[in-house]
Amino acid sequence: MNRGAPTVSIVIPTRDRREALQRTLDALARQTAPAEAMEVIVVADGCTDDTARWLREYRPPYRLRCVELPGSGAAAARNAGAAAATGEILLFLDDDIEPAPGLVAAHLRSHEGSADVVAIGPCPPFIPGRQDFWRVLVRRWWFDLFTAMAEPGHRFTYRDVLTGNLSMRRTLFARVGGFDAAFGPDASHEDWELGIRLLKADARLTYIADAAAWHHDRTNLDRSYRRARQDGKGDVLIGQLHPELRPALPLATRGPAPRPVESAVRALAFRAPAAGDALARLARRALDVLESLRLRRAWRKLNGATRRYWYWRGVADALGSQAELDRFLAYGRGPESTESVLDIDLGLGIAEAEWRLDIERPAAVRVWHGDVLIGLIPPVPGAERLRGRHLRPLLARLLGTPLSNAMAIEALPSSTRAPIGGLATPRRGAPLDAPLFVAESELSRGVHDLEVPAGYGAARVLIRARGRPLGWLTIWSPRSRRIPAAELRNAIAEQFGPGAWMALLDYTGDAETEAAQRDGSCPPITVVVCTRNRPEMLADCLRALLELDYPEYEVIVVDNAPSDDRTAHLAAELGVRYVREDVPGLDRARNRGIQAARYEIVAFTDDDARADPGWLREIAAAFADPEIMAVTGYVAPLSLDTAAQRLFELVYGGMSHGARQRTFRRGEMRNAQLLWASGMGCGANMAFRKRILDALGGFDVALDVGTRAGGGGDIEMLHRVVVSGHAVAYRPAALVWHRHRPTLPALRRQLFDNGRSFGAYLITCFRRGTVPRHAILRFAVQDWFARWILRRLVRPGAFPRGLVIAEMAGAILSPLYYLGAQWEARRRPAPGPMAEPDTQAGHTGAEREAALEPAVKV
Amino acid sequence: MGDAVVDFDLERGGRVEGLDGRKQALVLVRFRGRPIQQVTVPVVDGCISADEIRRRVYDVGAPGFQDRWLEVFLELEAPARAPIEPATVAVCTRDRPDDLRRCLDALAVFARAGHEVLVVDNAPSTDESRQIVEASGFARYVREDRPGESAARNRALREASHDIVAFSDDDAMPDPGWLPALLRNFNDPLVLCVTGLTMPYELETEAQRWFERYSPFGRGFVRTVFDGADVNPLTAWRAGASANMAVRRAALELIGPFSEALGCGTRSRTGSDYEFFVRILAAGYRIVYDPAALSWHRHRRTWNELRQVLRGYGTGVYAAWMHLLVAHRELIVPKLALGWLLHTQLPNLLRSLLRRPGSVPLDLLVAELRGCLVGPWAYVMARRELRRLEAIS
Repeated sequence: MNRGAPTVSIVIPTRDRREALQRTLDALARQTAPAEAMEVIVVADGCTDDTARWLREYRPPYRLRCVELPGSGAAAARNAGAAAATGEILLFLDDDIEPAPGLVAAHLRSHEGSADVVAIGPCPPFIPGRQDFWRVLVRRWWFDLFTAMAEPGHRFTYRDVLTGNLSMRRTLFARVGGFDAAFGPDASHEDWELGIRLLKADARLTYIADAAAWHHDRTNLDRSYRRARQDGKGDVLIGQLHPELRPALPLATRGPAPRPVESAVRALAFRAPAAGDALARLARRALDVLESLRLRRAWRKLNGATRRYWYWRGVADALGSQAELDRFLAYGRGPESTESVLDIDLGLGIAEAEWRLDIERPAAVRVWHGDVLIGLIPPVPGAERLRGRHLRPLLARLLGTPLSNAMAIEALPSSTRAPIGGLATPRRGAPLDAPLFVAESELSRGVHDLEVPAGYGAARVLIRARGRPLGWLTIWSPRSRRIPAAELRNAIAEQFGPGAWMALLDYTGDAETEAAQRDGSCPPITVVVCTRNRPEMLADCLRALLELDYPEYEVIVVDNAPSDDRTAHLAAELGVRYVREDVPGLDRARNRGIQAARYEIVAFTDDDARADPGWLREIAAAFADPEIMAVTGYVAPLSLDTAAQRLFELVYGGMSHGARQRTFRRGEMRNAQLLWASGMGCGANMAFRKRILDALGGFDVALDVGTRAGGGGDIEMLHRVVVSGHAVAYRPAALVWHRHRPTLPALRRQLFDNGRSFGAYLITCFRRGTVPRHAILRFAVQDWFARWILRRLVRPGAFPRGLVIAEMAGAILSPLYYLGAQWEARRRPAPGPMAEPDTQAGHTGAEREAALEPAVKV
Repeated sequence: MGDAVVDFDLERGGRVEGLDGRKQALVLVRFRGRPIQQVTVPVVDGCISADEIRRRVYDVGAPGFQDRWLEVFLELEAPARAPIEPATVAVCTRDRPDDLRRCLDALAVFARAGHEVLVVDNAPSTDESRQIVEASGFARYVREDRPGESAARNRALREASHDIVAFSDDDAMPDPGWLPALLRNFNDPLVLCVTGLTMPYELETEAQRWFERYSPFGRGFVRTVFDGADVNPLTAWRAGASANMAVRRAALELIGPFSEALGCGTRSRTGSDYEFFVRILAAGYRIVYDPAALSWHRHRRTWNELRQVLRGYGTGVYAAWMHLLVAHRELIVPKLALGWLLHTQLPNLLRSLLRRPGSVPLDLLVAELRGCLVGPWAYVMARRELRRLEAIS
């Protein structure tokens, strides 16, 4: 039934502000809306000036009524005005609001539908003139309020209901019961309390930017403190009327001030209000001084504390004592989540999710993507129930990181579901006392279920994205010993989101052309493996080397002073080149390998290491940059079955140098970094250009301290490469799996060798003077001995002291061993040309290689 | 030859070619059009592979990447929610006709989109700039005879016919997405100024490379809002550089004009933009730094000019501080000056004297320090000059 243009009743409570009221009424006379549809009711609440008399003589074009009250407060005044209203729409304005000409029309338009709409219009402060600190804060508060409401996905809360510029249907107002008259003149926030009831009645709050008005705000700092006191009382009232909101009120939350300040201020307000008031007045004077000195931060802090004090004073007025306050707050979390929580799946599309939200209007939402839980959009007490248009902004603000992480994992291509075996319900911290199953997960092949073999309590999974290691994931194995892919995906998304994320970019290229380009830049490489009396382990290593994904390469086994010819047989059987170096010494063996190498790039690995299929490809990619002279890579543990292996890998740090690729150049490194050559790489995984090895004279055989573990020949060579001005690249994508020492005595021996070889290496550096000698001395004492060894002796953590002592012993004894090795090196003649026995050629060709190598350089 | 400057989109595959003779390249990495990071990549055989760029971005990290992806995925970018209101693009120039020509070529795209392009010729000695403007056909020419970039900018603000004025230096070339990126930040009524990301157009000479290393215009790749009610207004240099900014015309009434005792063309050499930003923040308004508003700036090519520029910076900063201390009673200025000296200038000087790797060349540091020394007096002289000019007119 169309009744024509609805009439609107404008209710304006006022008290002793005739000029402001006149300005407002004059502005209402200039509205674009027809004056016949408007009725204005001014409620003069305890006016002592001539407001009432002036109103009687005022002749506006619209209907004007005046209601007089003896001073009952804004809530009662507005109720009285609403009771006297006859219009269909109620529009509340304050007497210091100056409406723009289109305000009433905009409000009328917003009620054209039949739904129960509560329309809020902007009334930002009109603050001309000098900007003092206080006004700056006030202005920002108001503007931000309206800017937030103007955002398309804003979730309205009761705090958005401000009666300065608010309209709703009169029937709605009557239905929710109007303002609560308990809010007398000394309590504020009656509009917020009305907002709570409106939200409970499921009214629809909207913001209409067209209903513009200016708020001629005449508050100053002192009035704001009075207002803070009223706010305190008002909040208590709200908490009493709506107990479920108590945890969300400012009384229950701490506020920005640090805890001691907050407690001090609260204690003052409750226990010693007289003293507190005096202090507050003193603070008020101090604020003026601070402002004149332009000390902004101090001013803000003091202002914050003072406001908070007055707020607590208001709370104390209402509650009386701190015990009451505790009882008031103890209501706290009532029955948890009787609120409706909706599960939505973004995998079905965001539009679908929004549609569901509009229909169901839940209080909280659990967001999924397929079977991955993204997160929870929590219920907010006092906010409207969720709608479709809230979803996107909330996702961006609250769940942005988990959402993008999950999408990154999802976007990776997946293949048929098959459980991954190892090479190896996330809980932090791997235990050191139970075997860990080592596995590898390549994200480009999708994330699948993980089968953990019997005997392992947890799995440690190396997550790789297109070859690059991102990091390790430790997951407990369930009783079924099968970790579902969903749980793995969740854990990966949570821990490696950003990493997987960036690696995702690798997929956005054209895979085929890139693969083709890569094949084009694959220079032939020689792989040298030095071994001594370990044919079983060597067999494993060689088999892995024979399966590398690389077009052209050769494998050379350098048999170092063997006691039998099992290794020779093995080499012949597998068809790799075999070279023999009779003088024991790892560096001699390496040099022998270099002599025998046919190609321009020589890669080294250990006989107890197993290379990843993509190892050489990554090395070649690094060598594509002509500046790079040496490449080192990531060394991952092959198994973590024994305690010694776990100690070495998890506590000592193992042999890896991290997941980030780096390039080492002399100009960018300090002396200490140059000397920590063990941070650049290790002999289990390194590659050089042959010409730099020749130019630098090969590995230093004087560092061969005669044991299987070898000396620091590898790090010394890396150090020499960098110090002579070339670049060494660390590329974690070039990966080998290393079998760590299985028993504690072997580990102890290895650490002893570590200490010994590093000491020998430092002595070599000192003698060569590659780095200023005083720097070496300082490094040896301060960085190596004190920080690395002694500190772990004093504070070992999980690492047994016995092992630290082993390393320290090696360090202390290193000069002796160095001298021994020097003497040994001088005693032995320079190695002559060795005959290479008849074996088949390397992996690539079919020709039999029987050439003698040229004479060795001295 | 110098370093190459490459504009690269992260979703592209293959390689970047045509860089023969270069040793390394500065790559601006974009994702869906938005700059998210810059990396330096060595050039191999005249090209760089996309893989290598991505690896470096991965190692360095790109904080804006996730935000941009979310924006696109959730379609949060207010696309053409409302058609962008027309704005004025103002270029203040003085006797640099070649630069002006290049700049106008870059601005043509905005003129076609309906925005106004205004060229303020500041105390020119020849007619060339006017001829170039008239030849372009879309730009409006205004001549401001009082020397100084502040005077020119104030004139531009007064002459502009729209509410928002975007400024570009004459030796900068804005990206096609520059103006919309600046304008969309003005939805917030408290924002009076928006600054953007300025990348170097070329890095041919040593001077340009050092300029980019020592005092780049860019302020990172994350959008930041500087709110006067939160930050100390005197740290306004973090908010960006005026080679690339947009200002609300209402700022003239709310804040006042650019100070004509500071800035290029006066004795104070620079500092007018810093002082303007300080005033905006002190009055409690906001400045937004948005790296999506991208502009390419041609740095000065010769070493001598670089020295002059750095000396100008020193002078300008101290002149601006003098002004703030004297006229606005900002008593924290001496503390700031001491902080700068102790935390930045002296350590740099020390490192340079000890010839540490990667230290700033000594003559540049000395030039800056000399500028600092003359700063306060330069400000006083500039004020006197201003008063004299005003008395004449």
